[in-house]
This record gives sequence, C-alpha cells and structure tokens, in this order.
Amino acid sequence: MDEAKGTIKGSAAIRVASYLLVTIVSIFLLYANTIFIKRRSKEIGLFQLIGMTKGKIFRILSIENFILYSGSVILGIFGGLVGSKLILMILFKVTGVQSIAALQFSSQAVSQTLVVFGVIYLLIMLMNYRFIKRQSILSLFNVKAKTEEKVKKVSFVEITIGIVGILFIISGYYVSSQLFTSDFSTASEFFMAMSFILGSVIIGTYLFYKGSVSFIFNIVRKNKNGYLSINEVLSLSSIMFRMKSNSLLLTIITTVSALAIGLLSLTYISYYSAEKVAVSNVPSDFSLDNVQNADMVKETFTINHIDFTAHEI
Amino acid sequence: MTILDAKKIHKSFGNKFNKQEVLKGIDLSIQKGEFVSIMGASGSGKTTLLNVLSSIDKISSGTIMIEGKEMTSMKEKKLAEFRKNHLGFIFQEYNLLDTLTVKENILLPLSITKTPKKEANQLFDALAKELGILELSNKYPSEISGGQKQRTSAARAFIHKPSIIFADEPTGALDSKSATDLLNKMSELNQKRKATILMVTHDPVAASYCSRVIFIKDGQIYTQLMKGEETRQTFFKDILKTQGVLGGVQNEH
Repeated sequence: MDEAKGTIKGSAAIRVASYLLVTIVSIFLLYANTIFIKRRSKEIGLFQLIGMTKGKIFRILSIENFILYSGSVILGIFGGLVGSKLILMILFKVTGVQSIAALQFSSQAVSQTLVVFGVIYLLIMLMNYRFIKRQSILSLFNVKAKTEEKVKKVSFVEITIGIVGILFIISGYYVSSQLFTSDFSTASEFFMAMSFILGSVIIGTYLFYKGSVSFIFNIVRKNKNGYLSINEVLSLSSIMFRMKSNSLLLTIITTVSALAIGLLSLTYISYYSAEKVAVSNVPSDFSLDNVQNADMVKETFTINHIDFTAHEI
Repeated sequence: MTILDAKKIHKSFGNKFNKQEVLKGIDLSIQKGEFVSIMGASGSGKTTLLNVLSSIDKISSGTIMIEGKEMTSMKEKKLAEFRKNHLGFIFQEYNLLDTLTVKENILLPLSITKTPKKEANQLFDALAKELGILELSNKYPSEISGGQKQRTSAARAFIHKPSIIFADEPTGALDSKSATDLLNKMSELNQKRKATILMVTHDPVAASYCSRVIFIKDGQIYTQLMKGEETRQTFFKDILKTQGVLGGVQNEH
C-alpha cells in the first residue's frame, strides 16, 4: 500500500477512491433515511395527534439515530481493526512474505471516520427536522399513498436531462481513454482527471436512469403509434417509470458493481501480467552480468554433471 | 355546557386560480355528553369538517371553540398541549402501532401526560373490561381481529378522558356484527362516562345509535335530526327518509 502511494498514479487513485467511498456512503445513508422516515410517517402523525410537540418528536428521533449511528461506528471500527489484520494475514500468505501481521491502529483513520459520520449524522438530522416541520398531520397520514410517482408526459426538461446524461457518460469515457496517452503528468492533474471521469460518469449514469431511459423508450413508443404488443406493454412502460423513480438506487448499484468489476479485472490483469513480465525480463534461470562469474557457474555445473545451455549477449 | 362551538367555518382547497370551496359557512355546537354523527354523501365535506374541528387541518376562516378556548389561532406547541388533554381520535384504519401490544397502545396517551403507573393501570383495567378487550392486553395488533383493533383504538381515545372524541368512519372497515358491537360499546361509554363523541359516518345504522344526526350537503348543513324519546328503529327510519330526500339528484331541466 505504501508503495502504491509512492507513485503518482497510485496516490491519485487512492485519493479519488476515498472521496468516492465517502460520497457513496453519504448518499446511500441519506437515501435510506428518507425511506425510513416515510415509512414511519404514520407513527409520527399519531404521536402528534395524541399530543407530542414536533420538537419533542424530533428530539426522540435524534436520540434514536444517535444511538444507532454511534453504535454502528464503534462496531464498524472494531470490525475494521479485526478485518484489517485478517486481510493483512491473507496478503502475507498470498505473497509468501514470512512476517507476523501486526494489529494496525491508525488514529488518523478513526478521526476521519468520526468526522465523516458526524457530518452525515448532522445532515440526516437536518433532513428529519425539515420533514417533521413541514408536514402537517393530515399529510403524514397520507404519505404512503403518494410515494409512487405520478405518471406524467415526457417533458422538455426530461429530454434535456436525457441528452445531458448521455453526453456526460460519453465525455467521461473520452477523458478516460486519453488518460494514459497524453499530458497528465503531475499528481494533481491526475487527481483532477480521475475525479472528472468518475464524477461525470456517475452523474451521467444517474441522469441516464432519470431521463435518458424514458426518453429513448418514449421515442420507441411513439414509433409504435399507440399499438403495443403484450410484451411491450409489460416491459417498456413499466421499466420507463420504475427506473425513473428508483434512479438514485440504481445509480449506486451500477457504480458499486462497476467499481467492483473494474477492480477485480485490474487485480487479475496485474496478477497475470506479473508472471509474463518476469518471463520476458528474465527468461533464463540464472543471469549474471560479468564473464568471470559466468565462468565460475559453468565450472560448478560441469563438476557436478548438470546439463546447461548458455547464451551470451 | 357547550363543549364545541364552531361559527361560520369556511374551508377551501387549491390555489388562487383554482379554488374549491368545500365548507361554506358551517355553524355547529355540541353539548357535553352528546353523541353526534355527521352524515352526507361522499364529497359533501364531512371528513373535512371533522378534520378542521379536530385541529388536524386548518380552516380558511371562522372560529372554533373547544371548552371555551379558541383553537384556530393556537400555535403548534399549545395545540399539541391541547390535543394531549382535550381530544381523542378514532380512525377508520385504526392507526395502532404494530410494534406495541394492545395495552401499550391504549396507555400511549397516558404515558405522554405522565400519569402515574398505578392510576394508569386502574384506568386501563376499568376501560378494557367495559370494552371487552382485557384478555387481549398482551397481544399485538397483528394477532387480533378488525373489530378488536377498533375497540383498542376506541379505548386509546377514551383512556385520558378527553373533552371530546372524534371518530372518522369508525365502522367503515368492520363487518356488521363487529360494527354493532363497537357502536353498542361506544354508546354505553357515552352514557356511563358522559363522554362527548362526534362521529362521521355514511352508514345509517351507525348514525341511529347517536342522539343527534347532522346532515351535510355540498359543504352546508342541510338539516338535523334529534333522537329524543324515539326508539332506535324509528330513528333509523327517520334517518333513511332524510337520506332519501338528501341523496336525490335534482332533475330541474
């Protein structure tokens, strides 16, 4: 890891990856929180009906969330400590290093985790506060009925979103194809380029799910001119609206699985190429760089009756 | 003694350009110990009326006094305080918390008012016996029938002895036997405990259990019937007759 940090590309990649992780975690938590609070809206409405003030409900929710979050942070840190030792042991085993895996505790990492979770916690509290303050009792009782998005006509805004999404994806891939060929030389430039690629592809994916899918399908439907076969009824329209209403979750799933597949293939490539590189760099069993030593080795081989072939360059 | 006194209630939905007036100036007053029901066709504004009277929804103009306290101008905090002590609610879809047992659900309003445990238990035992749900007290809402759920919900509304109880179609989701059962219990509680109940219903049978029925049409009070000394059967026939007159579509053209 420290080796990887040393190189320009390596350090940029690690930095981008950590930012990405934080973003994904926070988006995911915020998204989960909106679902949870919507599910509990009836309960919140009921508490207000029997005479709890909004402030008190918010306090209870905050305490509850605090217990949940601090608990999961503590558990997560311990799990991470144990897991890191396990993974280090696996690494030593795989690479054949004879060494004892020490339990590593990085106070910097802990404090960073605490800060990130603290900020997410504050954001979630802010969201809950707004939700409780804004909703009337009547709307709290009806929240469930409104979760499924209303089906509307594809508007001009959506068409723009769709096109912008596709453009974002294309530009991201274009920059990534240029990444190793040309003039990104310093670490900060590399970092910028990598963040741009990730950012534009992820936002592009989100917009793709939000707008492009329904935009493209809408074109297909227009061409059918109202007459849809039963397969198209089942697939086209439902995918169109389902994808739109779940675009955030789909984006997260796409990004995480893309990252996982990418990393997996990267590991396999480096594992596979390491052997190839070794063979092409050092094709012989022994290579010696001066004639005296070579003669000595040859002599030893002949004395011990070992067959050998020698190449001189 | 007047518990609820509403004057010239107006309520409209929608924005400036597309306004729909649902309540068009309703005057209503309810005495202590009355069991009043509001009837009307769907869309006549009866649920909206109940919502504004029970402080769940805001009115556009008018005044609502409960126990001599003006409710329309109250701030959030005071309103919560007011609901805590003076109002009880029963809904069509029960609104029980699935994670709490029957007893915990019923005692919820008392735990908010911080009633001592002993007193709370006494109140619970007496009320649960009257409603016939004492043996269910440790069951969860998912384990009991709709009628039992609604009786639990009614118990929750009665337990803190509110000034007035609002019931929105309490028999709407029940079969006729559980509905009769619930209505019998409710009118019993009304008589024994002098509880004031305001109920919205479209079921004439449910309305016939009340002491007074108010008919609403297009956001205005159409007429009202008093039970007086009549039996429930004759009162029921009166309600049906009025409903017939009320429900007829006018063919003026």
